[in-house]
Amino acid sequence: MLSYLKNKSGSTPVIFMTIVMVTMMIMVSNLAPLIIRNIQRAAEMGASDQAQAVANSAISRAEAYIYGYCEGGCNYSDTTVVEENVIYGDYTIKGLSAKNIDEGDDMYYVPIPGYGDAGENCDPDAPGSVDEDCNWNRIDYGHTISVPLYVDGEDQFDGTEFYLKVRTPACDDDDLECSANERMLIACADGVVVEARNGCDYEEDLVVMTWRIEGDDTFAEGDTWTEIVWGDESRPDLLNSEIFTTHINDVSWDIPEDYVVLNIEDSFSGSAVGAILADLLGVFGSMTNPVLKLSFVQTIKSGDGDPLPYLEYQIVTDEPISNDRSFIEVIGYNEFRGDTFYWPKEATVYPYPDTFINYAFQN
Amino acid sequence: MKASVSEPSRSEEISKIRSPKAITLIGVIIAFYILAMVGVTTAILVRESLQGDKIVQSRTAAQSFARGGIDAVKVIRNTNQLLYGADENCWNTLNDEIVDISNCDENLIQETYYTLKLDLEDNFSKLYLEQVAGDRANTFNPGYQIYECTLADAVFYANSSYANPEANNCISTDFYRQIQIEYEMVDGSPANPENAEMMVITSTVSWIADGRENTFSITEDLNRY
Repeated sequence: MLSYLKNKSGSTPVIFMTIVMVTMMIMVSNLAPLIIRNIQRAAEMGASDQAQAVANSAISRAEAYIYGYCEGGCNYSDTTVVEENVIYGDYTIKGLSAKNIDEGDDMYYVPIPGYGDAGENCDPDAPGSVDEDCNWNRIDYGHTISVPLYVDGEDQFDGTEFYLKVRTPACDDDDLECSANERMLIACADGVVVEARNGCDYEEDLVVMTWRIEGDDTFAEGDTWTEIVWGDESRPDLLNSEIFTTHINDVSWDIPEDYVVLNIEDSFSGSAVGAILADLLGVFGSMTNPVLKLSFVQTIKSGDGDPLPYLEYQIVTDEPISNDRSFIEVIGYNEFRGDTFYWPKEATVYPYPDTFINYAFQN
Repeated sequence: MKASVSEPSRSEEISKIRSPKAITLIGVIIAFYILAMVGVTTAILVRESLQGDKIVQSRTAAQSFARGGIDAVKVIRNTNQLLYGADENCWNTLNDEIVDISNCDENLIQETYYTLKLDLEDNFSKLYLEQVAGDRANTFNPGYQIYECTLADAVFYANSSYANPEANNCISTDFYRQIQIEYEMVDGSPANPENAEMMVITSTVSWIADGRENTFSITEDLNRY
């Protein structure tokens, strides 16, 4: 056909117009879907905005629940609805200590395994052993952390085991003076690094952290009072509230490292009835609403003279307690024109302020 | 002698049509027809394209205005919390000066529809909610109209605080923004402004395009804590 037309001089306009037509048709066929797609995309952006808004709403609802309804830590899930089955947001609150699925030891941990902020790229579904960084929290100099030793709906710690663990950060990979799996040592005030407990002179062995436990107690006749108890010996004895330089070095290096600086068998002094923490916190303990407070009170340096800006802590119990913070995970949904638009979001809430509440165990 | 007048044979007719002049004429006619078809199609396409572009622009602008409405109420809530403290009774007041923070009930944002205004005479420093005259539930109430205003070399969009926006470097746009405030407890049960835990904000932007009414809404909750 084309060869026939080519031989006819009058067919030139037809050929030319055919080419133009085909070109235009190709453009039309490409442009039309593009325009339609742009309009769809604008509508989808709106649907995505609505999913984001309902995710923000879910975060707000979860925060309000934590502040309004969780006296201690709580685990809770709910849904906020803008339009039933169309625009809605699911939220989950994780605020209680939890077992380590990889360790399988039936103990409860703070931080929630896999949520520790001493590690990076942590996976709560695969937290690893209890000594992994992702299972420890950081505490910075000048800060105090508060951990209610009870859960929402209860007012006492009913367990029989309680351990507060503290350790120094792991050595840097390029630190030639300690291997990769070892932990840094804190230098005493005179710059001497000693691993053994009480190895420094008393004046040089500075107190780095202090702990206290605050709670309520009740007289037999029903009146409540503020109980103040603390470790029953002066430093360098361990049964006190002062966690000092060589104490932390010792628990970080002693083989096997257990990092324990306080447990339920330790003694206390003060106005409370009893001799050891188990008398207050155990099954037969009388203290209600107990809250552990741990403060980082002294600037510290490594043996190289470099500052150590943070330490790491972990709490282990045989019954659930509150986590020191609550994690909120939400997903906002919008069912729009047959598609589901969703917007995931996460937040962390620190519901326990760094202030004295009712009581104190301190030294 | 018999004169013979012969009828043109069919083959002769065809040969005439096939003559170069005839083919050129048919070719030109077909070409013009195709050109006309393509021209009309192109015109329709361009018009649809421009309309499509306008639809996209309008939707995008509406979504931005709706989000801006939510964010502005959030600013009012946050300002109140900074001024009067979180979880205090004045967290959901209108952005007016509270003299007695122990009694701010008269200044509370009530459950109704509002327009969101920017005080153009106060260095744009004050956002506030205001109830409009007429049918407040009607999203095309003139009180909800958004203006494009130019002031101090800056262009911005707002529900103008001027009584006569056009006389003050403002141009009316096709968009209307209505802010609805409701209150709830955390579990979704109804509440009043005095004891509510959640403020539910719905920002609805309406506009008319090609004679059709369009709306876009975003709903977001704020808590008192």
